[in-house]
Amino acid sequence: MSIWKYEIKKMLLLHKGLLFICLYFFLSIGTMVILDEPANPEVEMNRMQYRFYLNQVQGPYTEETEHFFTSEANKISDAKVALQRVTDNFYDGYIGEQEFLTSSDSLAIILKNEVGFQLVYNQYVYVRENPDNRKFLNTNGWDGLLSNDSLDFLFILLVLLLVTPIFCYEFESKMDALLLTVKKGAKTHTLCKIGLVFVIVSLLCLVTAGLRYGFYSFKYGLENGDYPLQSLSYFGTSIKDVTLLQSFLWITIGKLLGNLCFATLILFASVCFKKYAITLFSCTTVVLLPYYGLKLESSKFLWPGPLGFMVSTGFFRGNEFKRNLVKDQMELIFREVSFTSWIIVFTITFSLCVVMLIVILHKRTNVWIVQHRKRRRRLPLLILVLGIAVSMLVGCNSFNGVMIEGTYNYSSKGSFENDKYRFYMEQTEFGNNQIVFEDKTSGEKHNLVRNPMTSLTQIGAPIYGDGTYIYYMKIDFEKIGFQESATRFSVIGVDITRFNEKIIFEKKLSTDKGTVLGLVKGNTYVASFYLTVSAFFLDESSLYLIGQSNGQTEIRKINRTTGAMSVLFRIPVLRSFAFDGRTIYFVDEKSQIVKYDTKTDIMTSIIDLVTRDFILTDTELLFLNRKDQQKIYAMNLHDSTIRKLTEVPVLSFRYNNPYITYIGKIDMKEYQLFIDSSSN
Amino acid sequence: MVRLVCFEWRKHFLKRSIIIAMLLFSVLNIAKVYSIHEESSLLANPGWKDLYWKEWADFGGAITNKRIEKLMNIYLPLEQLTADHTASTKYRTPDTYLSNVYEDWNFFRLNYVDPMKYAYDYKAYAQGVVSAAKENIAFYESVDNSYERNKNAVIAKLFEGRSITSFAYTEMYQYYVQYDFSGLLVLLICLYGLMSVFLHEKVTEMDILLLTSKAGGKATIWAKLIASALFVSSVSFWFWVVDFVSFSIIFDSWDAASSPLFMLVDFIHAALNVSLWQYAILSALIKTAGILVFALAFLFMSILFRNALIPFIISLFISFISIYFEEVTMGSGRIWIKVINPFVLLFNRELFRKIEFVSLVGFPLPSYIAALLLATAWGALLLGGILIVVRKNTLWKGGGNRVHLEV
Repeated sequence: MSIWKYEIKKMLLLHKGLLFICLYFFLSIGTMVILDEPANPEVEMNRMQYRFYLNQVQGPYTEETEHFFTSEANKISDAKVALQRVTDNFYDGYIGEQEFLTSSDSLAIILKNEVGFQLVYNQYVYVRENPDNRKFLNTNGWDGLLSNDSLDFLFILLVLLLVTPIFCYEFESKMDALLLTVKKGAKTHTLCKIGLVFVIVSLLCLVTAGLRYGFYSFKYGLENGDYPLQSLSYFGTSIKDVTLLQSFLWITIGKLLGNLCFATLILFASVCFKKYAITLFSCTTVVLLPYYGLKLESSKFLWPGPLGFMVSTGFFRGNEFKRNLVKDQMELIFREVSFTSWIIVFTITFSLCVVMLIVILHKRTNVWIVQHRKRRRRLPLLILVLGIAVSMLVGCNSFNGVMIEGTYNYSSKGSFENDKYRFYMEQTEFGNNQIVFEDKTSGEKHNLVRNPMTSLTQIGAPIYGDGTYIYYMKIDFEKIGFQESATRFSVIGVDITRFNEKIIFEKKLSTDKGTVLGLVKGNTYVASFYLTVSAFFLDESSLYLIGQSNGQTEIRKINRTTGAMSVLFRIPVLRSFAFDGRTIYFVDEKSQIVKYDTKTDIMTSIIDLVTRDFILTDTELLFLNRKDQQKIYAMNLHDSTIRKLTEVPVLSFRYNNPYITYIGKIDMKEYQLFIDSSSN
Repeated sequence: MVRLVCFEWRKHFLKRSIIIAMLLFSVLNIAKVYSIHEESSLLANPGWKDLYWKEWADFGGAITNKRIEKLMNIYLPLEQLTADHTASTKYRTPDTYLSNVYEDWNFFRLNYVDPMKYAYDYKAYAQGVVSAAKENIAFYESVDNSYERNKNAVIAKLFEGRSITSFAYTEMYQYYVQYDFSGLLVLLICLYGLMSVFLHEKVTEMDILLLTSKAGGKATIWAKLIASALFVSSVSFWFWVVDFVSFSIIFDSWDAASSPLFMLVDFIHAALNVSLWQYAILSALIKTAGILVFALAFLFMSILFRNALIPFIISLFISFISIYFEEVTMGSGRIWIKVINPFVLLFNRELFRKIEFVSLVGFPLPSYIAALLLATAWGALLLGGILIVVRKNTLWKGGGNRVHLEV
């Protein structure tokens, strides 16, 4: 018993094992919390709506589900039409207010969860392909837990730190010879050491698995563990007949075996080489090189040794193909590991482990030596070094606040004007966008984006301006071989006095694994949203993007420092939209203007103001009054008084301080109207 | 000193384990290059390869109007046939080169028409860049922005007179410049090789004894550093040569070497006017410089501890963190953040694929120079660290100076 106690004391206290274990859990939890991103961020951004529909179809695919989807799709599209009609009728005076309110409210309830329907419908398309073993469930939690083939690099380092000194320590101090003189120094002691390593590694492995399970269960929820594994698209083509929970347990057992095999390998290497450096080197290369070097993702699972088992998820995947567009044929990207191959790989790995253990026992016996040397200097140094490393992890991004000046209107998303210049968008002959600006006094025209190297960059159409800066967006591409792919979305600010550029926001879009080791992976859902952005604006802490997702126009808010994204709201028909630096104005499905305060997150409707087209100026809200035959009205923003500006119905109008230019609905002619907003 | 260096070299690096690792890693490296060829090369398909080199006789070499015309005579009918996707996919009809019209069209488009169009258009594009940059010079002068003005002057000068006159098979270089797996191999070997340099004597507690000998202090330290630098450089060069040779053999291509760097589409805005073989050498040198910085970091780590365990783990950890940040900042417009990481030297296409500048007190400095300067600074810092930490040990062990220290 005392040998056990001494060995534990040596491993955990003398070799600072406990410290490393704590550090590992600290870093591991830290990386999970900071770096984890949901597999499908749309679901997280629309949790409520998604839940609403998922709860109705959760479980297997049946005929009822089929009917449900058809009827619900019809219901939603009918509700959209009906709501429009009811609103029109009400504003035209055909129906009373009470009737309008009752019917519009019931319709709005149907439409409230439309996006959730879209998300569940996408899942429906997947489930319908093979209804026998696919079920409806919230996949984000299980996807995060199971759908990856990532190697826990920190865990490898921890195992190396704990296991390598077990034998190397005695070799290093040449005390292994003394062991011959000790009674229990031979077999018993070695067995005890091996046993201890196995126990510690198993415990750590299980605790880590538990921690991951807990994390994903807490963050996304891990319900429906009894559903088949194929419900996750990552395992879509798998032919293994297991449930989600079973596969998690099997994968955990696989990881446990893999890590025990890895620990055995370290012990074996340390007994053979008797030196730290070469033991560490050989063990890391055995794991890391096949992981990063092998071409086919599935090869590592057919490679006898610890690696395949340390990842384990690949044993449950099925054959996967990708169409090669050039050769016009399907290319294998993942080869399924059949049960026979698994048995073979397992047997070889297991026999290797047994052989290694026999060699260790044969070669290795040694003795406990009380160590007196204290090396306190190491600890503060280690903390210092790791502290530096951790501080490197914290990305910092300083920003000098933007002073918002003037207002932003969706209708003028391609132009901006200040006292000196007028900025607007021009299409060039090659179909590229070109942002130009015109000097108001001299009439000279220049390009705003002055980068002479235009290839592999696409300038987006919208621009946004506040007093001193003009912002534009661009997408960078890279071209390797014959494949071109978008790599990065950026928003750039240009100061209007000296035309220096600065980067406001950047987002990596590329999703391929081709870069160095592929440690940073983009998300296709996120990337596809960035590629649809049609307008944007910003304040000092956030960037707001208007883009398409699931066929709907969404306004998303992005934290400029952390990059965290959330959906603010959806706009059924985007025609008018404004931002004054703090409040967002938009038109809801009842044609009412809604004000959203970005600081307090409070949404209020402006009652009695019915319109689809409006423009926000510094002091007034100009709108086409739906209640009065689309005549232009103005509402004062301070006292909410409303005045009429035109006596004729108007088709469309634009505002160019201090003039309104409008097209009359009856004669289709253009008029200009001077408004003196200050007099109000 | 030379003998000391030789001795240190023999002691630390002429080990069986290192030689075996080098050989194994070289084999792995070649296998990896081969897999890239199989996965990505258009000519991995034997039918395409044969046809490519058959057609090469007609279209390779200088780009002339006659050649373009001849190519268009083949390509335009194919394009028309395939435009509405109604042409027959019948297998190997007599008038097709490959299995059907679509494959013919893909073959000519990807192998000849697109690359040749790019090469032919490049001159005009470069001229466009020059005139845009010159326009910018005038514009920035008018708004009194000297930094942007100077930046555009450099760009105008760089792109002046750029053109691609001859058509070459560049596929090998396209993948060669994107290849960085060998960097990881070199990093691992160096990590292993360097761990023992300072620790070897410490483990056996001979470092105290060493101090008592005549050349045991400063001279030994410098000999160790020089031997390490030589080791790192030779391992690096060995792998860069293996990379280049295996790429050339596997892609069966030696002849694009004299084409300019901007012949590669991804390098359309190349930061230097060099040819591909010059870039291959330059890239090898810069990668070696990057490895040297990491080597100094590994040595510095190893000095701080008494055995290899913790320095090895920390070094590996730091390397991976560097790689992680390199991947995060890759392609970013925030140049300073990109170049401060010494790993960018190992990954130097990021510095050369596009000319980018950082502002050094208002003066535009090309990003590759900034990266080299910063790497030098990192190197100097680590070297200084090594010398300070090592000397401190001699003071401690020397005993005589301890009084001085305590004062």
